[in-house]
Amino acid sequence: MSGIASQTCMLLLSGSGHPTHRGDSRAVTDMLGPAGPPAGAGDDTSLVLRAQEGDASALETLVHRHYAAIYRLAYRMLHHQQDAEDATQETFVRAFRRLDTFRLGERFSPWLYRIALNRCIEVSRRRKTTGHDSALDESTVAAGVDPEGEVLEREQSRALNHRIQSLPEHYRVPLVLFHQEGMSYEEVAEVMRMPINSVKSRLHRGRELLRRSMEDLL
Amino acid sequence: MSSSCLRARGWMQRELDREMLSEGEARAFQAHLASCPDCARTYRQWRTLASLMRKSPPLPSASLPGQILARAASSPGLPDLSEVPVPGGLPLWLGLAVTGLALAVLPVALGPGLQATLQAWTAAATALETSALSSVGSSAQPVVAVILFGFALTASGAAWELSRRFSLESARLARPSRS
Repeated sequence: MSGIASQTCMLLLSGSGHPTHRGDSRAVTDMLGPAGPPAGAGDDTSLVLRAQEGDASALETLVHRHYAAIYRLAYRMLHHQQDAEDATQETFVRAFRRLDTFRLGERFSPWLYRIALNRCIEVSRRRKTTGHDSALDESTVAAGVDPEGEVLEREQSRALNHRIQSLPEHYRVPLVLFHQEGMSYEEVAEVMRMPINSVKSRLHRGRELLRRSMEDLL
Repeated sequence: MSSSCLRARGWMQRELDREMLSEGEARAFQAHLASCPDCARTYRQWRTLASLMRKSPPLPSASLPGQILARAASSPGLPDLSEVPVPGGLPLWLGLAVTGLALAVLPVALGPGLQATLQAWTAAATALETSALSSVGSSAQPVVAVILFGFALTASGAAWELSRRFSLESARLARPSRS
């Protein structure tokens, strides 16, 4: 753990911040009743319920449904394909081990995102302490074809990746979720478990820091 | 910074927040950018930055879902994922069922036109098929073709399933066992 801010961030992103006992899940299901989320054959909540009862095919469906989004998030956090794939694997294994702590009143994907973000933050910290922070991929797919500006754009992308990485986590996470993942403020607040106004202020501050650090290249 | 610049910076932030400006605000914003080089430069920087951030990451390996499942399967306390059939794969029982159905239904349903088509297809079959067909009379050729097709379908289903299990097992063995 390094710094109060980082600890705060980890707490805010804690995927098991409200641990429940295995038996609680049934009580939560009962509480949801007809007003709860639809429990059709294919929705995440019913898949989690089936998985909690040991249904392996439900776990597999959850993997196929969410692995691409988790990988994308991990790549944006780590900028390294192999690390992102490893983090994706670890995220699912952790999530499946902690399925009994999943509160059925909440949505599955923000819960999974929190686990993924925590894993990515761990990897980032380990990189910083072991000095492997320079080994970032520079291979992002261009949003549009612009042969004339390709070299400059590649340089800008490389610098952006490094400078996003160097931002404190409590600025980097909302930036990635809002600007890169395209989430709304409400969704970012749900993932980070914090008020929307806090998300907004962190986001504004984070992107201003980023713009200033990139000013020479923009 | 003048008050009009401050107002313009606020509009920039709202645009970055994906908020819509009113028609009047958008007009005033554009007019300000046209007259203030400093704000215009900052606005260009924001737009470039936002565009750079939207770039898509490279795609993951195609084997990533299989690797996740293999890793989960090797984790203690989780359901056995190795027995889950891959959606879209063709299990052995399905291949056999399709073959049986084809044998039962198709010879009856075949009209003269379809028979001619099947005979043309038969003529273009592989050496093995040709050899097999040459040993039967011409009236039985469509039936033999359907049987061969059924066998091919069954074999491809079995091969698919075997390769999936082999891939899962290889990924599991390649990973050090986890506590």
